[in-house]
Amino acid sequence: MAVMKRGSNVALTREIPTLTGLVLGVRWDAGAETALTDNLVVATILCDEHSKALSDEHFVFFNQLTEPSMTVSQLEQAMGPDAEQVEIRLDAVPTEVSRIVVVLYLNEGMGLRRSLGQLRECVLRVLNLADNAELVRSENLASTLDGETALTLGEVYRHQGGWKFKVVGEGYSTGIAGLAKDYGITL
Amino acid sequence: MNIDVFAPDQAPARPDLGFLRHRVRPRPAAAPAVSPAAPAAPAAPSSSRSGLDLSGPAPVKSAPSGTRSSSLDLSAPAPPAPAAPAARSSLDLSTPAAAPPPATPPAPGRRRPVRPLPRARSGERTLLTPKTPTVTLNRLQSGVGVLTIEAACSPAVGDLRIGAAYQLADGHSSLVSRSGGMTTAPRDSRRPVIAARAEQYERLLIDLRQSRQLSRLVVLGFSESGGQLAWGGTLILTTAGGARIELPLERPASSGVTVLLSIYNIRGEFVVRAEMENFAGSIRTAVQAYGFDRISWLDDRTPVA
Repeated sequence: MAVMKRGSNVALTREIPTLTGLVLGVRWDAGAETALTDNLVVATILCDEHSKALSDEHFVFFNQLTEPSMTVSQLEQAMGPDAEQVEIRLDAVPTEVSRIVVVLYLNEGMGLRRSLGQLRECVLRVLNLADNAELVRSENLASTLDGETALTLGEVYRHQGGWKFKVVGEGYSTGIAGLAKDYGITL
Repeated sequence: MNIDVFAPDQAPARPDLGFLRHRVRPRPAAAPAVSPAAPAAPAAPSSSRSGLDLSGPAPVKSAPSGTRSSSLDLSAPAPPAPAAPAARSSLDLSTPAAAPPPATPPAPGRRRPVRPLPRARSGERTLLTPKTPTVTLNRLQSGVGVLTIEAACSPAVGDLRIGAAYQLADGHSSLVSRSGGMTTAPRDSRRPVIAARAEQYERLLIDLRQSRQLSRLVVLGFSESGGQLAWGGTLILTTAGGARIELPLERPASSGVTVLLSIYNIRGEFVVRAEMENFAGSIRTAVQAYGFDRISWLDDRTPVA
């Protein structure tokens, strides 16, 4: 299976013309740090061509499992080894959506100060929605993390009539607040 | 919300029901064609029932399809589907379950909202008053960070304590308050959904990472010594995005227990409502009046668990 480094991209629909849907799976390992993993949140943001969320309803996470077009949905219970999974029906994504960004953040809980630097492993996988076959996966994005509390994992974006996938792996020390500001989301 | 039960394709989206769309897993060819209904089937709108057609593995794939109503064979001895819109017509107790009543449009009137419910705005202040006692937090405001509930009251009020009676999604129901040392909900939890703390003022913190586990709560105010409180000050709710909801604690001096505010989790959105209702009796009396009838009590102010 292909392991992709930060910043690298792949032309998904050019490589696999029959591809109509994806599963983005996020898996992590924090050892015994359950106080960390209990508070991790995966969210998916549907963005316009300026990389801004179309609306606050286009922020898909555990308390808003899908968005108005229902083409991007987070599973309540992931299948297989991933901690969280998001399904994308690529062929039905509305044209105003240019970019679908997957992020990970630490929900600031009841005063426990933790950071993503405590993760040993954090990997984003891309599966074919039709048969669950793994297409590509990111390198271990945890290796360079330190005091970050939010992280853009990767994105699926339109390119020349098709869809590409890119591993991003950029962290935020300001958590969901900084991330929301970047993507134009009102918390 | 006006729902036409004959046009499910025009029904509003239900972003809270993730199981309405699900992946079709590859199956071995020999496997019996069981219902492809999602794991969380109980509330799925009739998909499991129509999926029981064993004659063939018909690809009943996407839930909100227009053919749904035609697949409801009325001769089948099945109770009406537990879909939310149909619930009202199925309340006709005179009809035996074997004969599903013909679906009628929902009765007009009473439950239809007259005007849009007020919404909390991030970075802004909302004042709850007797005329506008409710405000709704959206799914982000109800699911990101921590919701803080703080009683900003001067010492002149008296020995005010706040607490909350709560009900979790799994049915567990109890009390959380610094009074009596019940500082976490559930009690002795390593990962509390609600915690009672005190900084400058008494406060309750709701961990919104676990908002789906919380069904409802009512915030109580009472005197630690059982004396009288000279009410004043403000109950302040704050979200991660800086939405601030203020409830003036202005009412005549009273003893007993006052239910200050309620929060109901309605499909992932927290509906906050000012209550400001005083009960002359105990905590037990007050929370029972709000329907918390699943709590077993050690005494009038202490649940068993």
